[in-house]
Amino acid sequence: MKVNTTEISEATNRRGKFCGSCHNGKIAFRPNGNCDKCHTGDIGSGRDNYSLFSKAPFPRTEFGNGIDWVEALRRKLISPANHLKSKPQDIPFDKTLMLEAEMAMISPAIFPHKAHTEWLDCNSCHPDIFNIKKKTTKHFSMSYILRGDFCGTCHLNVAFPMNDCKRCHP
Amino acid sequence: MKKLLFIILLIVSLAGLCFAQGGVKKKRPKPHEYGKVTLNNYATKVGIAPVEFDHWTHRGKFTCRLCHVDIGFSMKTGETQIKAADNMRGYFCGTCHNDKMSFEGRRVFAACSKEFTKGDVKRCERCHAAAPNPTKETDFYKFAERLPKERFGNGIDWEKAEETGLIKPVDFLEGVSIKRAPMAAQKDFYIGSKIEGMPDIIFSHKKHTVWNGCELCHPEIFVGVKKGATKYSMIELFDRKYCGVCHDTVAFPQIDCQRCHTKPL
Repeated sequence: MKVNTTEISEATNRRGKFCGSCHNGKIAFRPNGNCDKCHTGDIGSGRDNYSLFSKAPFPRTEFGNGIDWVEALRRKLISPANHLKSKPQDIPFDKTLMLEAEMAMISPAIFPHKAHTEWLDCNSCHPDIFNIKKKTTKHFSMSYILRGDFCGTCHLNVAFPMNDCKRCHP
Repeated sequence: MKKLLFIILLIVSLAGLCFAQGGVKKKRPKPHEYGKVTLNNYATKVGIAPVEFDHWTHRGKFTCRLCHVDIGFSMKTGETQIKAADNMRGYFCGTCHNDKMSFEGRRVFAACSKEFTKGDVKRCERCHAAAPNPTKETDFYKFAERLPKERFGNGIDWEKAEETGLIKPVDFLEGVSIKRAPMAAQKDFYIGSKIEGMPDIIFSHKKHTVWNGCELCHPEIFVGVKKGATKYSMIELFDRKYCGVCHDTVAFPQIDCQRCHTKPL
């Protein structure tokens, strides 16, 4: 989950790994003749596609993509595929945690497992990012979160950004 | 003086901030790299490239028990302290890699020799590779192609491969293994999970004894042959103890929670 550490190459893609797991001509477009679709050199090259996509009646937020993905999933407006070949067994872990804030006057953060397990697998976060035993994750504080550790792994660049304080600290 | 102390403390605390290791997702080893062990107690000291041992090349052919119990390899990197002399005497790698043993219709190449010609160097480099070998990578994917798939680790479901007979690991070597009376396979049992909401674990002895016999785990990894005698939790497991000795290093890694936590709630 860190940029430029996967080591994707054309060979691995053509072999059916990483991008090539879907981009093989069967599930999504294949590499041959489509190089320029991805290798554009312009990080904002998806803007036209995005404006078209976002016109769909998604629930909105003010931040990030402007789309409330969690609500969109709940309302079944999107149904992202959960597996490619074999279905992993589901562990329906639903615990909601209350994380006390370090500073006075800030309401505790409410962490719902359910909203996360709808998108992720247990191993996406455990045990690398968060320890499995309560209150044993070292250095788990806002300063680390804001610089990209812990929650910041996703909630700084892909999931709703942390400008949206009220979504965790209601 | 006080100002200097303050500056030093500030630098140290900032340095601590930079090196905090929690909270980041580890990079997963590639399927062909999972289970790789670097053997380098003496190699670089004598000026030869260290050995990069890939477990996958041997797993399909031999059981864990044969190498780690009969031949005596340690299960911790750097502990066995293999020397070329050991290999030449017929111990460790040299048990099979001695140019005399025949396996699958071919002679197993000799590991380490006292005298060697320029042409022999290629043989040394089969293990003492200075740079990663791209042929080995392609060999892996060719090998893995016909085997049942799994999510993590090598991406191979070794258990299923053995069950369906796609691989037939050898458990006995003439002149190396001693035949003992087999002990009855123990029944499957539940291991309770400590967190409410996490399914209990179903532990199958049968699935493990196929590869390990009894001696590999008992009594060194699991002291209690009596159920409940050894107390441990997931924290120790993630720290490469108990189940974590194998499951995170060679067998399927523990990030595959659903493979063990399978008892229906």
